[in-house]
Amino acid sequence: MIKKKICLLGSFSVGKTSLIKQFVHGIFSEKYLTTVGVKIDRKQVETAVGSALLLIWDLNGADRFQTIRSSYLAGSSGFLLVVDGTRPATLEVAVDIAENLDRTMGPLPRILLLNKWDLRDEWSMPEEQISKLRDMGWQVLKTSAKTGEQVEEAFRALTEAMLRKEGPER
Amino acid sequence: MKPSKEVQRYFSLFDTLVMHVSPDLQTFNANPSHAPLWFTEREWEGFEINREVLTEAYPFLECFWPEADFFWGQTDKQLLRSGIWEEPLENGSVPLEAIAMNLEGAPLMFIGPLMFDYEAKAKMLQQARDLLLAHETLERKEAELRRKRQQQKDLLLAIPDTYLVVDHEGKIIEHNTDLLPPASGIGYPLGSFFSEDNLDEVEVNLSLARDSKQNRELELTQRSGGSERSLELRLVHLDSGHILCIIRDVTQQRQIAQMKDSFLAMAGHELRSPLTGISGCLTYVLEEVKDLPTEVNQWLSMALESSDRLLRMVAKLLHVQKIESGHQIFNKMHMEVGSFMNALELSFKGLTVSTGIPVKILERGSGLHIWADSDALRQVLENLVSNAVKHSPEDKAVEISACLEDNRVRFSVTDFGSGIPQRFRETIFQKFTQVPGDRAGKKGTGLGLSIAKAIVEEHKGSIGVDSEEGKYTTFYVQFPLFQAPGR
Ligand SMILES: Nc1nc2c(ncn2[C@@H]2O[C@H](COP(=O)(O)OP(=O)(O)OP(=O)(O)O)[C@@H](O)[C@H]2O)c(=O)[nH]1
Ligand SMILES: [Mg+2]
Repeated sequence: MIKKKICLLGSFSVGKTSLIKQFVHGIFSEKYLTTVGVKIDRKQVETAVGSALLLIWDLNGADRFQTIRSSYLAGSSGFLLVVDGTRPATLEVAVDIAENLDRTMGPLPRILLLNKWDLRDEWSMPEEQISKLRDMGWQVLKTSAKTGEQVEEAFRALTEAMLRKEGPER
Repeated sequence: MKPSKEVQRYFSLFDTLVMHVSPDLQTFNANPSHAPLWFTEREWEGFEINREVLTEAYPFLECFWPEADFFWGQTDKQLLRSGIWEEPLENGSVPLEAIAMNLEGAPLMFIGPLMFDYEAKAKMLQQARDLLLAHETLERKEAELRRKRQQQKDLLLAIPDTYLVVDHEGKIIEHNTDLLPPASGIGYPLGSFFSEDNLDEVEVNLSLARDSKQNRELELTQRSGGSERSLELRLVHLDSGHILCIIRDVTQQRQIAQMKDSFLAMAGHELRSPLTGISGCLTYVLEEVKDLPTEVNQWLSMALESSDRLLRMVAKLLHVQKIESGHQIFNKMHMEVGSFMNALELSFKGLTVSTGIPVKILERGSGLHIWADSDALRQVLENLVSNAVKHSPEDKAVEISACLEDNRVRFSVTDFGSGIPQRFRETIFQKFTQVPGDRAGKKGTGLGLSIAKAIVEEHKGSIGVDSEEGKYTTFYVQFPLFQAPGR
């Protein structure tokens, strides 16, 4: 079984833990409990190009109280960068993280998740920032950890991209 | 060298696994008797664990090894912490941390839940983030509010009318006019903008708008220094609880309407005598001159008919004018609706005979009373019925009712003809508007309904129309119910 480490990154309270909970356990909770430290979940994912055991690293949201240790990212094969669609400030944090990743990790498979799509009425995302990330090579998906919309698809798309990158023979 | 028994026991109290690290740093040796729960949940083959198996169990360690190996290679430092990871258990999870140590030159590793540290840290972080979130939400709400205010301002700037914004206490807090009376402006009550005689009406409507949270419209005549201006006032209840007062000067529109009316009245008067003269001459010729050729007789008859029609129109026009200007004197009295309807029924018998369309009275309103001029009311209803008959299909009756509705007496006349398209329903009561779709092109003067409206309004009543195209048309008039004093 091919093992792949992926990291969920993004500002605090954007829904990283919720997305993983929805994907791995199919549950969602409204209550916000910030993640302290790192949480690692496993899930096997089947894709059109094969299957992989994902080691999903849930990293605590970056902010001025806590920065991501770069050692946590070592060995990752792909990234999900999460933004809270109702909070434009979280997109700025995402752009910072993306630029950082480009410098330290190189061009690994990556998807930007605009999360909380169920709250689209309160949505406020500056389009130009999003296209900036698109230009940096990020695929963009709109997800909801609450309703489950596009959650499975996001993890599967990333897995597939990682497997393709590796080449078909392995 | 293994840690002493004492040290091991010490750590076991804290639910911590102590491992002795082999010199090549690849094998980790733990004492099974002190293994904590989160550790023994795993299936180990003994307690000689190699690095690969340990990493398999705790993937987080992957990112700790490079730092730990470097640390064990040195001897000057006491302790290296990995940072916290959350280890899932069967029910819930436990926050773990790995610690690398050098004890008297021997490499050791501890894995354990440093609960005290963790809880304090988690609590601090949670509080900080909840606070940050609340702050962010507040900022967003404020920005939204600012944006809305600006939008409102931009909107107001685009309005050519005068506006004033009034706060909860009725004081002006904003306006866009340079033409303020001497003791008016920011900080003054709204009434200060208007002349003395309008004060009460403005204040009453202001508090009505505020209490009901609904918009109000009113018209005022503003007198100042011998001049009079007609103002249309709109009081708009804003979300903020403030009232926006929009003032439109309609003096010119009113003057134009007045000019139009007096022109019509004048033209009517001027036309009446020559028309009477023409009709008189024609009648004379037709009656007195014998042996006119048949053809001439026909032509003259047609001329007389046209002249008479014009006269009737002029008479009606003058009639509306008279009512609208308040010069028509109505002979109002206390009347009982039931007997009025009975009398009316007789006159409709004749109409049925001449047109073949039956007129049915569904409700007579017996026992209801109104205060009205019965001749004028009869004129109104006869007009409505004659219109209805004109629009009724050959085989359908016209229906009349008088009944009590919302404490008012309502007379209605319904025909089951082609109906009146929505776009005509507004203008139908204006002068010279024809009800479209007359059967067989029977032309009226276009004044009947404006006369009816003038009469009804003079009685403090209202007139209106309901219709569905292709189905029916109902014209109705409503009058206040008469309450005899002391009853
Ligand atoms: N409506 C809605 N709420 C969501 C969604 N995803 C997450 N939330 C809520 O957002 C809050 C934060 O979610 P988390 O998953 O804890 O966020 P996080 O990114 O893990 O936050 P940190 O661990 O502090 O970095 C919680 O109250 C969730 O219930 C979503 O898709 N829709
Ligand atoms: Mg989290």
